[in-house]
Amino acid sequence: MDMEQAKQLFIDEARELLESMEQCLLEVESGEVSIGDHIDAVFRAAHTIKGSAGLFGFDDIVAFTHNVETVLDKVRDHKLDLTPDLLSLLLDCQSHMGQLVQAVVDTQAEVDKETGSALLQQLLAFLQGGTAVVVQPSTEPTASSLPGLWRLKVNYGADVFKDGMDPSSQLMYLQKLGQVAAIQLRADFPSEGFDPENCYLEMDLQLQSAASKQELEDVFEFIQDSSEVVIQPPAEMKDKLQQLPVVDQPIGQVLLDAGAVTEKELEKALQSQTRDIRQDKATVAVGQMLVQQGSLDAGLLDAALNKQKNTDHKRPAELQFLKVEARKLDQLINLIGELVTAGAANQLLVQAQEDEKMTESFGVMTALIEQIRDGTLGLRMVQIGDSFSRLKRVVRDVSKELGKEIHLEIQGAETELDKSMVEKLSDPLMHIVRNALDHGIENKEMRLYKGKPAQGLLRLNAYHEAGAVVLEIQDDGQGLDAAKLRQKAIEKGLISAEQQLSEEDCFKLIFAAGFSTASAVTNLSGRGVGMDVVKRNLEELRGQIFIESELGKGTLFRIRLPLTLAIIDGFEVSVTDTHFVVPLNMVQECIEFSAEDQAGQAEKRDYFNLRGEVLPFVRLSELFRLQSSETALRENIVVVQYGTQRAGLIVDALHGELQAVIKPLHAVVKSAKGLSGSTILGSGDVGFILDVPQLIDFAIQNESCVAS
Amino acid sequence: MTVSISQTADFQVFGFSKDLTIFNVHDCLEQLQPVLEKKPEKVLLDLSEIEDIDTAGLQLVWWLVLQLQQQGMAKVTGADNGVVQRLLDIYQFEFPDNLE
Repeated sequence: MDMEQAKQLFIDEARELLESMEQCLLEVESGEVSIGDHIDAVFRAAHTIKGSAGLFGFDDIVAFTHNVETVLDKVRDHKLDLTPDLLSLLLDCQSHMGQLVQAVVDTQAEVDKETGSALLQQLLAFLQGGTAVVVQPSTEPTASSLPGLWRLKVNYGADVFKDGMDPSSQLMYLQKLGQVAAIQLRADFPSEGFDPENCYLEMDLQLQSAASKQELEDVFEFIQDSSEVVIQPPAEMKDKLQQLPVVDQPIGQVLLDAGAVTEKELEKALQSQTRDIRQDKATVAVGQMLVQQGSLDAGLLDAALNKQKNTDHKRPAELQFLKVEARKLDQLINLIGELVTAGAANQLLVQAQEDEKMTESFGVMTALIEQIRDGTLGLRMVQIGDSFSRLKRVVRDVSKELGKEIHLEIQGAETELDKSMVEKLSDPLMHIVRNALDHGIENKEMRLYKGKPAQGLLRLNAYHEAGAVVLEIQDDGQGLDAAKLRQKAIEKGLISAEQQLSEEDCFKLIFAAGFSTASAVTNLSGRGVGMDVVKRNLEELRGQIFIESELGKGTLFRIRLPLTLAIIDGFEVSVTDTHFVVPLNMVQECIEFSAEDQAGQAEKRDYFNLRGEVLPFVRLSELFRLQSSETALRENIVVVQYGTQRAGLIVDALHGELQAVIKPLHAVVKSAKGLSGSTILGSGDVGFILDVPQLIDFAIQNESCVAS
Repeated sequence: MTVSISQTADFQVFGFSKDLTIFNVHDCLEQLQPVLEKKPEKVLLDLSEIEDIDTAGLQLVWWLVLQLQQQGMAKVTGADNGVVQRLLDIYQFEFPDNLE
């Protein structure tokens, strides 16, 4: 691994830790959990960032984070209360740490040093007696500001003096390795038969030292055989253990690598274990044996065991994932796409053979390919909860800035969505949320005046519905005023005064470029940019946005998105010799269609009587201007549904289900309405994937226009 | 003589001279044994003349103090002697005193 890779690892890790720190602090702030539940995680995040930054010589990160860590340490030790002010300060510090890390990525990025200094001053004010200091940047990595406190217990053997050993010389040497904090000398004199040449002494000692356990053990090398020496590591060893990379190793090796035990101690424990086994005694685990012999305490063993548990796939939440380069996943998905296409071609050949065994065997393989396809696509699926969580900070900061009290409610955070979509969703969600906070939810006074609770509510919800993911952003604010929106649109020349619009169409005017009804432009929203970008971004994701709003009660934005952008189950149809693919999850049913079935034939209207229900339809041949050489003997209507809306698509032939690998549309047909992509069919022909939501819209609007 | 035994007022004084190490602790105790058997009530253990002391010597003085205190009063004096004090500092140790 070269330096750049290592640096990138640091940046990735720091960002993850900062994110985790932010989430923990926000959860504490919202009262979801107590600080006691999260302080270790928050402290660990700051501690790890500082330690890693030190390794790379990012002194400003080390210097700033050190003070954050000191404050967190005091909170952890209950020496400092986590007041709302301190919590807010820590969140600001987290943001500043984010800036400092960003400056590592982008050397041109500006770090607001004034804010940094002000934050440091505030941190110092929180520290008792001004004990905390602004740490001068050091080129040395600083894992901990003070060396650890080792506890040594020596039970001297009777012959120590006779062997020419003087324990005082060992103590003098120990003083060279650190500072002796306390010693307690005890004697176990016999009631009779005292021999002054025998040693009856025992000693407990606390030593503050940066020395390793091995170095300390070596001091007692010459009395090891005659005496009992127990060296217990400092509490900081637990942190060190937690910072070690996850490895698949026995517990003894984990402890040895961390420096918590020495080889001699481990050997002794293993010998005891072997002896027990040979004597058919109940065996004690090595870790437990080490605790029994006093080499470490149970807490440290637990920390090591947790680490070892990691390798047993019982990992803590943050370690349950394996990082894989996105490029490799994309490559795999592409290959699966090719496999699906090749499979479709083979299917045609197999069908032509009319060999039952071969068809059966091929069916099994196709089913497996489908499973592989779903599994592979599943690799890219991530929970939407991470995106929602990021909005927590936005809601907090914006509501503070606007002086509004807003409660954020999150539902369906575990709903999964393609990773690339989650990334692209980030901005649209942010825009909608900011608009809801800024324009939707009224200020406290206005809410109280309207008889609403002082605290506004913003609800984020996600769920799966008919092969799509639905995201909802709902507020209990003032709602959209359709008449006002229409008037504004007329003033801005976006629509003519005569143009009739449904209520929902009026709502959708907010997505028009340059549209804003906000009387005041704030630095959050109201500039008329944003919502048009929201719509465009969502369309790029083959998604749709719907708005429901009730004046005075609130607004609901509902976003429907396809589950994935790569491969879909489709239904193949054709008009003349052009093949189309309808996403299978949108197909309701297929019915034979004859001209007589056209209910509004006399009025030249395109609707169909579907068991008493009016079903608008669209003829694909007309829409795409496909000239057939001869009139099809019979036509079919494919009933499609998207959300609550339904329409019919008139096609010539139905070919059945297929898996379609979605390919982008060629530039020539990219502007054609009603198409969302293309695919290669088993025959090698190109099939066009229909944009069903757009077609349904088209069918409904077309029919409405004709009717009016 | 490793230990001088004298009387000052109503105290018996055990004066340790020059060395009190593993090499002579046995002799010291042997010399003091007859006196100890008489169970003296007030004893001062004078370390002021010591020029070399090790942990075995310290252990002996400690044991003597504890033994003597079981039957009367005993106190160590002259522990501010440089070599003795250095050893006591290393162990952060003070001899028990039941005289005060």
